[in-house]
Amino acid sequence: MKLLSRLTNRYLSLSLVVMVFSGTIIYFSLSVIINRQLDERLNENLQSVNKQLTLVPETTFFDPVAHVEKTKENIEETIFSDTLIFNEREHEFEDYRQISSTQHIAGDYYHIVLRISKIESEDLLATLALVTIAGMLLLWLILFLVTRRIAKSLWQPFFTNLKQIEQFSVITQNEVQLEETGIFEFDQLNESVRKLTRKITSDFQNQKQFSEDVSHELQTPLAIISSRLESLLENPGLEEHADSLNSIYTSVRRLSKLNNAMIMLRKIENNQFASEERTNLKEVLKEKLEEFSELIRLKELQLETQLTDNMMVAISKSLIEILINNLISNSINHTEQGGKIKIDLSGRKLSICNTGKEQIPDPAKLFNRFYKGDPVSQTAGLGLAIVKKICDLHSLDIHYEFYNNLHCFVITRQK
Amino acid sequence: MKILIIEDEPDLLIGIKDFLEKERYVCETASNFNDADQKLAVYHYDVALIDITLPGGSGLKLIEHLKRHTTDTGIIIISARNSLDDKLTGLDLGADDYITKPFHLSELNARVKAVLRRRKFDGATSVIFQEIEMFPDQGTVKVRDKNLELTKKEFELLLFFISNKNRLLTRESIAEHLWGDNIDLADNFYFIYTHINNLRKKIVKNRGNDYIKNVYGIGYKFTDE
Repeated sequence: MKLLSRLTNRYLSLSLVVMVFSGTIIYFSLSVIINRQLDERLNENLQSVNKQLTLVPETTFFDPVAHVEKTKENIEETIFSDTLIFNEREHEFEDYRQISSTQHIAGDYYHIVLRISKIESEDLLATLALVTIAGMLLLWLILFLVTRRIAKSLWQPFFTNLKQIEQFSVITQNEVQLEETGIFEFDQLNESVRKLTRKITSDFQNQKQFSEDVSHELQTPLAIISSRLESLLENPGLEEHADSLNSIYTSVRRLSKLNNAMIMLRKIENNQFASEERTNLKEVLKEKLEEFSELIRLKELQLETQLTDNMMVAISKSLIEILINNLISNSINHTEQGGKIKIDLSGRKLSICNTGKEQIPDPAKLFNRFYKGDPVSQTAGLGLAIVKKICDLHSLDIHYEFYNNLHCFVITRQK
Repeated sequence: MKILIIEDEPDLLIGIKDFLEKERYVCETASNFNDADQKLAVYHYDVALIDITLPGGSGLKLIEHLKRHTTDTGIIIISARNSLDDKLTGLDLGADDYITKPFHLSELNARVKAVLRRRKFDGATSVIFQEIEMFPDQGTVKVRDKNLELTKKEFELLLFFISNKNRLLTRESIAEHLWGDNIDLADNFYFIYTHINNLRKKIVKNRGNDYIKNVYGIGYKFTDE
């Protein structure tokens, strides 16, 4: 739930309670005041009736407004009360305020009951209540609209900044540009976010710099080891150490390859291949298939291609070559002798498939660094990680599918 | 043929020098920018191997200086940075080739020979080994004056062998030469084995000798010894 609507809901329910409460109070206090006024008028009327009776004892009064009868004794004190009288004409009960009192006039006791209809005052009360409620509703509505409007403009910088934070990425190295809000809490939040992102960026940079430095520092010693080993291997008379030398040499080369792949990953991450170039995937694919054709023949693989459309991508050619290289060599690596490789390019979709019996046990891990389907494989296990990285950074989707005994890597260009 | 090797890492410098001297090149060395700059200004070399990161200045500067007064020196850039920018800048400045550390000495050797072929003979020369004659420009091979049909990779393989005749070529260096160092093939050695077998068969069928020798599981040697 949005903070704004939660706030509004609270306002709404609170003002509803206040409205009901104050409405009740107003209603009751008004009725008390009205009754008091009616009672005063009844008292005055009683005085007038008193006077009249003193002058003319046999005066006739009309029900239900006034009812006078002689009594022998003083029956009761003066009592004010509410009563209902049936109106014959209207066929309904009507509210009356009445005074009943026993008066001693010219030696006789009179029991006098005087009544005043409350219809008028009730109408007044109803009108008053209506006006009050309408006023309150209006007030509430204005309050509601104004709060919303104010809240919107107050929260505006918050949302702008939120957008900025969402777009923050450690890779692009751009500092988050936060708007000054002039609101203490928001500015405090901004300050914290700024500190946090600066720290994340510098930590990330340090980490990256470190691994880059390590990779580069490793290159020279690796080059020396392997070149020295190569000269050593040329020496005649080392046959008895051939196995050891061979295994040292193979391991050093693996290390070099791994290091190269790491450097490649870093370079892709650092966007060092960035270019304005638009590359035709179909052309690259054709070139690469030509290069791989001998390998495919040697492994007696069937190649089935259907390159229907040109697909233009905004990626430098060298990067696309790496992508295609890795995908095709991955297919060649994982196809049994005599198997089939199937490549389709149409619309915005490229799929590179190869035959295989079983589904990969954990496809989600496929693009992880150092993941190897076959644990004894001599490859570095970085090929698909590089492919994924290239796709991620250049608006391409890649996913793995398995159907009809085909392992497929499907690349789709996002719109 | 005279080669200047410019490299600041002494171990690597010696390794390159030893290897190239066995190929009967006259080698001189420089391990910093000023040394290299002076030598390039005073003497004439057929090929210069230039490391980009040098104490005292960038190897790219050396190429600029060199190109100002002489144009027939072949230039091969050596870089640890594996950077595309360096490569493009270097080639723009007039370098002939670019090789990234760590590299195989046999690969460097093949590149030096290719540069020399292009520079000295305008490429219009053949590479001869006994009864085998290769024409790298046309991509053709003759064995005992009869044309030999080779696939592209077989041709590259044979040229690599002959460029490094009598030297051990490890399977790794062959793989990288044929497929580049960015391709991670699981069946590398099987592919090399098959290529070499096919090459052997074709040469022998054309009445050539089989010069490819296995060297205890590490690699191969192309030799008539």
